[in-house]
Amino acid sequence: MDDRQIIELYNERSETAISETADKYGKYCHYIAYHILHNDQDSEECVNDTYLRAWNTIPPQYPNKLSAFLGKITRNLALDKYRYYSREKRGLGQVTVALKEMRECVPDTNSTEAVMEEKQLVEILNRFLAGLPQEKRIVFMQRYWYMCSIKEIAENLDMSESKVKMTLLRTRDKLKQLLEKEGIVL
Amino acid sequence: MKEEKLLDALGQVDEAYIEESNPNKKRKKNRNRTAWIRTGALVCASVFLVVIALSGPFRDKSGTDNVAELTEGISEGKLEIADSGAGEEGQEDVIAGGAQTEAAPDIEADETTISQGYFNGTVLEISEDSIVVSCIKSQFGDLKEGTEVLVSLRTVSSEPIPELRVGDKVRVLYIGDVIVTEDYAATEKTVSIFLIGEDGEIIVEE
Repeated sequence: MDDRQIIELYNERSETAISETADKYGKYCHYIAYHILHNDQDSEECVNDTYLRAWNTIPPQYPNKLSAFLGKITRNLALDKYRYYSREKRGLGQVTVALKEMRECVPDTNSTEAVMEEKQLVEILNRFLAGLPQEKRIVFMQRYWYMCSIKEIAENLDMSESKVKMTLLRTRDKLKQLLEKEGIVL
Repeated sequence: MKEEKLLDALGQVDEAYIEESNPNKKRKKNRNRTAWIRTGALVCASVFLVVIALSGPFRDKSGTDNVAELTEGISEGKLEIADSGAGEEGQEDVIAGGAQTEAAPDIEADETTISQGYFNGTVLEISEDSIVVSCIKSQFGDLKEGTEVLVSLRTVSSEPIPELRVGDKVRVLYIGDVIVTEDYAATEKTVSIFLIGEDGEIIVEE
């Protein structure tokens, strides 16, 4: 079933929408949650919550890309769960490493500048991603959106781990430069 | 935390980028390139073996050659044939101590070293398992001055890595190729890393 038909099922409030979503995007959502939580049960919970959230938001929302729409929900839910576990001192996989790496992109604070709203930050990130060559953008997104390990990215994209690392290093550097140039304070 | 804010904001980026980078998406692998690398490596290895097999110095007194031993050493990443642990007296004499037999008067340890090299440089960045070093001078001149090289800190040698700081001058010993592309350079395998002085020589700690 194509995405339009699935969205139509949500629209009609047909419960088949959930099973069709699970059939088509269950694995994808589980992949995203698992890369953040590294636990099957927690990931499964996130995926089920994703279906529920999709059920509650479509309508009024009509996603253009259902996979990315669901992926975003799963990622947010999994990160929330991750934060909860972090407070409980349960260290989890790639997120800790990804966060540590992201710290390198954060410009030094200047108190005279206004703190950036998330919406503005998203706009800048979109601009930044648009300016990257496709390969570098995919490496960056697989690392910081999907939380893939360096090894996984290297395998996914048929490149060496050294190249992945170097690409990430350069891209983080570029992002930091852009944020500094824009006078961003996080 | 600020980095979390960045990670959250990234979660809201354009869905096209999320879809484009989906790791489960089947991508066209560059099989041609892989095939060429594989074929090239195979040809090089074959030529190398034939040359060694045909050269007298690598045959022991009983007439059997040591190519199998030699390749075993290579695959295990050993740098010198003398260390390959052949075990038989005759073999060791020929390979390690060329002077003891007339058949191998000119064989030196360097000739049996497999793509080993070094370069001196300045540490630019340090991360958990790698450093970026700006090359000052390389042994074979294959790395230009200023080339930034990613060096793994997972060294082959048991020699401890000195405590490094950004700006330190180091010598990086590596085996295998140095991969150089438009965007980056990286050593294939790091043997060891030493701090060097202003004269470019290794600082020996007493």
